[in-house]
Amino acid sequence: MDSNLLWIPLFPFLGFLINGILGKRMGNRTVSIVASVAPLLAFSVAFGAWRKIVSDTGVSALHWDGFPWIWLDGLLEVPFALHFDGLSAVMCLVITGVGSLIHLYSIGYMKGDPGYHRYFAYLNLFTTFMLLLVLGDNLLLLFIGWEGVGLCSYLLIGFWFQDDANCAAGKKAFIVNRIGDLAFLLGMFLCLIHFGTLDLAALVNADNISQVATETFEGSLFAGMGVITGIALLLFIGATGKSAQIPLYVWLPDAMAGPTPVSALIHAATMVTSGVYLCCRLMPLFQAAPMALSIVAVVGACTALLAAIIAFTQNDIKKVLAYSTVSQLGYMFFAIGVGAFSAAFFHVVTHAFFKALLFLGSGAVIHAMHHEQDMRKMGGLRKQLPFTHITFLIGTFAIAGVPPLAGFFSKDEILFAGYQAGIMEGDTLSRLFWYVSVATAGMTAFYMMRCVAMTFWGDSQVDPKLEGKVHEPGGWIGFALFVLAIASALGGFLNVPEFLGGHAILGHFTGLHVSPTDLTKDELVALHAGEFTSMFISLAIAGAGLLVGFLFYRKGSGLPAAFRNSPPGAFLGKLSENKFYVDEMYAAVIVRPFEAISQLMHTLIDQVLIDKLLVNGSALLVRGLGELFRRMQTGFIPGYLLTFGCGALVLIYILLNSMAKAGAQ
Amino acid sequence: MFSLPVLLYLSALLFSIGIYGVLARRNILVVLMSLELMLNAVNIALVGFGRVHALSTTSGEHSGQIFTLMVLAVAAAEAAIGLSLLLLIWRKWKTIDLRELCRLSG
Amino acid sequence: MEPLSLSRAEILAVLPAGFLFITGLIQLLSDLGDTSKNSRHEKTHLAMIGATGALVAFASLFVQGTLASTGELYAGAMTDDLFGRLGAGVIIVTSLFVTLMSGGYLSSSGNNKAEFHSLINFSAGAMVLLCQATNLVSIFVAIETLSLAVYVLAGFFKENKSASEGAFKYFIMGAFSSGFLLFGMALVYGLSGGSLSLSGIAASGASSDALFAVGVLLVLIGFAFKVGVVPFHSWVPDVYQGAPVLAVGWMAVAVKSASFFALCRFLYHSGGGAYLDQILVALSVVTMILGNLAALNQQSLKRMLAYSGIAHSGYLMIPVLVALSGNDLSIGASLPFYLCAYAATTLAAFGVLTALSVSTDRDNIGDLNGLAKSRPMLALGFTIALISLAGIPLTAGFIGKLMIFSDAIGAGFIQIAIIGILTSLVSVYYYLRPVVAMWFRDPRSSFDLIPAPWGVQFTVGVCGIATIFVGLFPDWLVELSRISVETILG
Repeated sequence: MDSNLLWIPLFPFLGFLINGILGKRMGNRTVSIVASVAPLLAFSVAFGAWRKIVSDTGVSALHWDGFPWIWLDGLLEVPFALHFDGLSAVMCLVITGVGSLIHLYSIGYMKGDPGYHRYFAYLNLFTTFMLLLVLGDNLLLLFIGWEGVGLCSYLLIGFWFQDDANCAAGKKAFIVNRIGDLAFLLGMFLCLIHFGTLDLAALVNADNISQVATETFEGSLFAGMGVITGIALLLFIGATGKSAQIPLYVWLPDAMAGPTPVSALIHAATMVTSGVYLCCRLMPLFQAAPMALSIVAVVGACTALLAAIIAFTQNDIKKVLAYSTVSQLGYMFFAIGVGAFSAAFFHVVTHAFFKALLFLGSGAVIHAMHHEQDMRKMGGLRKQLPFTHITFLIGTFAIAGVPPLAGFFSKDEILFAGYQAGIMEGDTLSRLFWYVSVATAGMTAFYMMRCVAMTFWGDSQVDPKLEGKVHEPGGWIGFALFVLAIASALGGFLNVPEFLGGHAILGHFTGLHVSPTDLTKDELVALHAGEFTSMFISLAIAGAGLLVGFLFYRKGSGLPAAFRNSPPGAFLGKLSENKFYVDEMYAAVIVRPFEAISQLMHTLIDQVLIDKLLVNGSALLVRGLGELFRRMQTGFIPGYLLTFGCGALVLIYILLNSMAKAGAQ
Repeated sequence: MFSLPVLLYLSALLFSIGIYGVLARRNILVVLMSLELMLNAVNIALVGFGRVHALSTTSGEHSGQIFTLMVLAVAAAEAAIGLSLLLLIWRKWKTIDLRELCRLSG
Repeated sequence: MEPLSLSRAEILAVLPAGFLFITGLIQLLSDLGDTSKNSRHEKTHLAMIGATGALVAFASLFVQGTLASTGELYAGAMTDDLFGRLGAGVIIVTSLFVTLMSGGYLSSSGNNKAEFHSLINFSAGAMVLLCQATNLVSIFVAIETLSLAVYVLAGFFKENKSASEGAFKYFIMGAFSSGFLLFGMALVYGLSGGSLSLSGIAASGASSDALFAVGVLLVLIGFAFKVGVVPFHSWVPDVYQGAPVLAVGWMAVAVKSASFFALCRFLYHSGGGAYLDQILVALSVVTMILGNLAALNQQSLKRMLAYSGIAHSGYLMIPVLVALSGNDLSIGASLPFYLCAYAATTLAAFGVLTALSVSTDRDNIGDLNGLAKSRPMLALGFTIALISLAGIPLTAGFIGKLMIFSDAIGAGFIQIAIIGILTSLVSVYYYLRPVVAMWFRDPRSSFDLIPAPWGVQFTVGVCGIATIFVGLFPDWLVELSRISVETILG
């Protein structure tokens, strides 16, 4: 019982209230102080809580019982309660830590924006919901946070709503996420039916799971499918929405319409990883559904590959990073799919560092370039922006997997998990997807190199009007970049694997680490050998990717043009440039038929049947009758008298008639 | 003399003639006369009923006759109002044709 | 013969009506001394006499002190019970407000004569008597007295061609309906064993006789004409449009209230209920539909309110029907309540019309355009009145309709309640048209309101507040209505 936990989401919420209500009157200075102090306070509370569960040996988690929230006795009992264990602790620290940095960064980035207070209010609200998501003690509370971050994402994507494209991007994100949310809801209903509770602790309880695992969907379309598999798949579909996986990834690249710090915080570091968090949180549930896990692996690997290919040809610096994010998220799901929850979560953390760094770096570039995002109009910025260049380079090496930077350890762990499942255990499908993931690792290194080369190296393509105005952003922007660069460089040491002499601290702390038990010595040796093999393969592929990228995009290289002129290159380039026509396909298959149907409904049902026939028709009838009655009032006295007399006669007739009938009976 | 049914038939006949006159005649004066006829037709019925009831009850009340006297007084007042309104109509409209008074309608 | 002596109860019973008649006489006499004959003068003394008389009459309502009926007075000609006093109260208060409004209104149109004031008081006295009458003769005399006064009031603006046409139409049709009423009374009298008093008729047990039932029906028709129930409503729109606004307000509130109170008392006693059900249903349904629909396309506010009044008579037939069909009299309590609520609401509405005709002498809905900007308080008062008439919550009209419809459903007349609710929905359309005009249209350029007379402002204010007050705190009036209905048979 620790009510201090409540303060973690409450501080940002207070910040939201203050900035949201009074922000317009307070002045930007006060707004920024309130906005950035709020997550910092939350960070310190989370840090304190973390210290508690680390230092007290007896305590592995903190819990706040809260209050009864939705309470139908025996039927549905949902408390508003918070739970703080290793997993939530790490998420909380990342959210509030990276979040605080991005708040500080935003002070510099959003300077002079007319919606300054609105921006910070949204950002605080986002932090609140994100913390609620990771702290929620039950699935419903988690879902509240889930929806809340979706809302904030929508609000912030469309933050510059004067531009229609931004609004459209916001709507797209919202609608696509709704599809996933529907599946999430259905998954929750299934949990409620079969587990009888939404309590996360009960959902991962081994006894409960083994009991539910025997149940199947009898007599339905999915007869024979296990209930656990159904739940896991539905929740995973929910996760594909939020975490931008095939087939619901299409919103994330468009979401770059929002301010860059938002892209860094929401669309790279925190919100989009909540799908991964959900899977990690329900690890035992997913482990009990092998079929669901293999689907997760397939989807993850495919997403990673597809997004990496698309990233090759993007010219918008943020789009490159967006597809990179999709690709990295694919990695995480691939790891989950092959059962390496610990590796996936580790990658969540390191990815939060280096992707936030990359986004903030790109934000610094964009800021310096006066909102120019096209890399073709950059180049040679290394001279004007040396500090940004260095930090961006650190981020690039980190994501590419250069040791000993953060990405190396986490990516290596994922690749090893794939290697273990595919090569060592010899599952054919897993092997294929291991190849895919290795290839993707190389491609990641390649397109990031391309990005760096196009932006910072080579000859300047900068608009002459801007030349000379480009300058290194200082202050909070620089500070945030600096801190994140250090985190990206050193974050990997959180979870150094055992074969490299580490203790997999993070994995143990979050309870996701699956220690291979009862292995013989030979098996252990083989395992370590495999790990070394895998590590060398991944190192080699990362190095190759970087090298090829450097060769392709170094100063004066004609290779890209040559490649584009070759027939397969032209084909692939076109496909990649057009993002494999997925948006167009969705438009043709779903959006346009849907619009056509709704147009038909609108015309047929609403306009013709309801409006014309029922509404206008009845109105016309009433008005017509009214007009008739009005005309009957001729003003002609004998007519009036005749009406009177006839009325009296009719009434007398009715009276006598009814009396006669009564008399006859 | 006359029995009650005869008086009632007479009364109904006169009442009907009155209604016909009001409905069919266009001269306001005739209409006013027809209205008086309707009231007086009722008076015949009242007197007839009053007589029957005065004979049948021991108290010997002549309530029907008293009612008739009241009706006569009211009819006189009504005629006075009616004639003065007729005068007003004549001054403003220069007509005593009932059918021409139809400016207000709808 | 017994010596002529009056009991205390008999004297107290006629006090309200007596004060009203005396007030009317004093007004006539006091004007004889006014040799200036300046009809544009406001003649404050007339209004003061009228107001004093009305207040005294109102005070005399409280003299008796018991709620129960006193039984028959004046050899069964009248009684003195809470039902009658409630009706008398509505009438006297209405006469007070009309008196307060009349000075400024009449002088602005150059027709300020004492006759108007005294005719109001004479008809008010007759109406009070009508509410208390328990005898066919007294009912007839009271109804004719009030009618004759109101015919004159309707044509009071002698130089106005429309007014004379309206008044004459009213007179011809009124006399015609009086014939029916009287014929019905004669039949009731003749076939109930020679009884003129309502209690005697009730005791005679003649209700199964066909001719007796026809007699009751004819009397019902006579009353139906007075309150404007279809198909005996034809006079209402024309007379309302032609007559002076104040006379229309007086007719709409006082004549209708008095007639309904008397009709209720008559029907409760005559006991023709068994066969009248169908007829009352038919009258009510036809009236609600025609009144509301014909009001839809009206341009003249007075005409619109005329049809609205017809529609409300249709609603008021429902509690009459409900009370007659069942033996539980307390569910007829919605009738007095509705009449009180309707009186306050309608007075507020006609107050605004009076203010409008004082300054523009027009009553088109378009003339209201932008009233909210030039006269916000008048616009607010009119809005309150209209939403109360439409039966929108937080107003007295809503509570009244709610009581009526729930009574109807409780008594098993579900179809009639549905028709009532549907027609009230239709009515919202025409009640909101003036509201839209007042608040959302731009004022006409030539639109120049001279300040409303203080009496009009006072009336609109008090009645508007009363409408809301009763809408918010209806309990006391509901209770009063319930007790009053229970005293009818006492």
